[in-house]
Amino acid sequence: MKKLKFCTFFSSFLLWIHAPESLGQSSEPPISLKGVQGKDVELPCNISPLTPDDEVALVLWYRDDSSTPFYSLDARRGGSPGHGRHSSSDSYATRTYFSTVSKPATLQLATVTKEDKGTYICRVDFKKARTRYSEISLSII
Amino acid sequence: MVLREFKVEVVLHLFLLLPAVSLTTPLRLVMLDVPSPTVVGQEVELTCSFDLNGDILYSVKWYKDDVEFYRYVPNDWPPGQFLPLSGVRVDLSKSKEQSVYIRNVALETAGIYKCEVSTEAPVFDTVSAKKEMKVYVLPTEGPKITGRHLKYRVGDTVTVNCTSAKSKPAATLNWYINDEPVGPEYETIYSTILHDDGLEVSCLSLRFLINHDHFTNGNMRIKCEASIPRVRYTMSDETLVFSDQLQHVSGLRIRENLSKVRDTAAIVATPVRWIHHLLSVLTLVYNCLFFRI
Repeated sequence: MKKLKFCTFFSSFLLWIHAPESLGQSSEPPISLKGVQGKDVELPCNISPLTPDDEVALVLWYRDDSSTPFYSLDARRGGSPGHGRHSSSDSYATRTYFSTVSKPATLQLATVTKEDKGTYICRVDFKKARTRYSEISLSII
Repeated sequence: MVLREFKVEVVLHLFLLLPAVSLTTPLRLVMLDVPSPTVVGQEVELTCSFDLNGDILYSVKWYKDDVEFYRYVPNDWPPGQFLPLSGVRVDLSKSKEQSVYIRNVALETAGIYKCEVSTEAPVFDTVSAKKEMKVYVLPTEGPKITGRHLKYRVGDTVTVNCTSAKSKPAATLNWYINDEPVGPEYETIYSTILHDDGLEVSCLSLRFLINHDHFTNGNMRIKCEASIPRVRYTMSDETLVFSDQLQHVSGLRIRENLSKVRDTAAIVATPVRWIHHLLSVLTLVYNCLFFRI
């Protein structure tokens, strides 16, 4: 047990060491989430700009290898993500809600089924900063 | 009548095909061209050809190792923007919607490049492709041959080394004797030394016993050639070695007994020395006479 703790400590230390290297990195480390059949899940996506003078332009949610996002938030004209235009593909229209108030922002997926298992990719386009990608691997139990 | 029927059929087919085409061929990434390997100091153009199939373009984004460094967004001003990234110097004046121009390639420029194209709202259809760019560093000077003597005798062992200047990847070295590549019967040892800057030095030794086939007109040319594949880099160093005087003595005798040959050489050399002495004495006598007159 002690050994395990040391390992955890050591690996977090390693992560800390490697952190400066990934300073220019615009992708978040992948996350694994478990959802329960019939319940809701919240998929996190950090949409906060790195600098105060920057703003979110667009948030796109993709699934697996699909080239078309199933959910988009277009804030290019709205000024803030809260006033952006949300749209989702037919199969998700009634089950998804993207909350930009919470930190991190979350995509709420209602009453999940086994078919929802897979990889979810959140792409955030900023007006100034680099595009940020987050990947969530969702499993259903 | 037959012709008329045919015409009708064609028109019908066109009507059936048109909507199908616009539905089944959305945004398409035609080709991603990332030159590789490139050489330090070069200027390169990365091309991402895409077909919008009538859609409106929202963005073209370029990433190196998943970090965005260039974007082309027609609705932004200016449409082409560079996001500073070490090792990637984008020339904005030469970068366009379907290409990005990188100036002064450095070792850090190497990596996986991704081009990502997205169409406008509401669909935001997105396609992307990735390709690796390798960066080479060519040696700043040619290889050098060391360890050779000026003269050799048949039966001597030649041991020489060839060292290349630093490069990436390590240079390939090859030996040639009188323009002929050396065969497996020649003993060669290849090694590389990796330096802190990521560059490598190659060394290739050559060791062989001289026979008189090696000498033509009393000399032998030993050449070391350094090359780097895929970038057509070749440079060489050539050295000339001479056969010792003794090579003129019958080759047969040399092969029979080398020490015997050396004895003969001493004998051969003796009269030469006597003649030399005699000449010196004669010069002295002549000088004396001259001064007296």
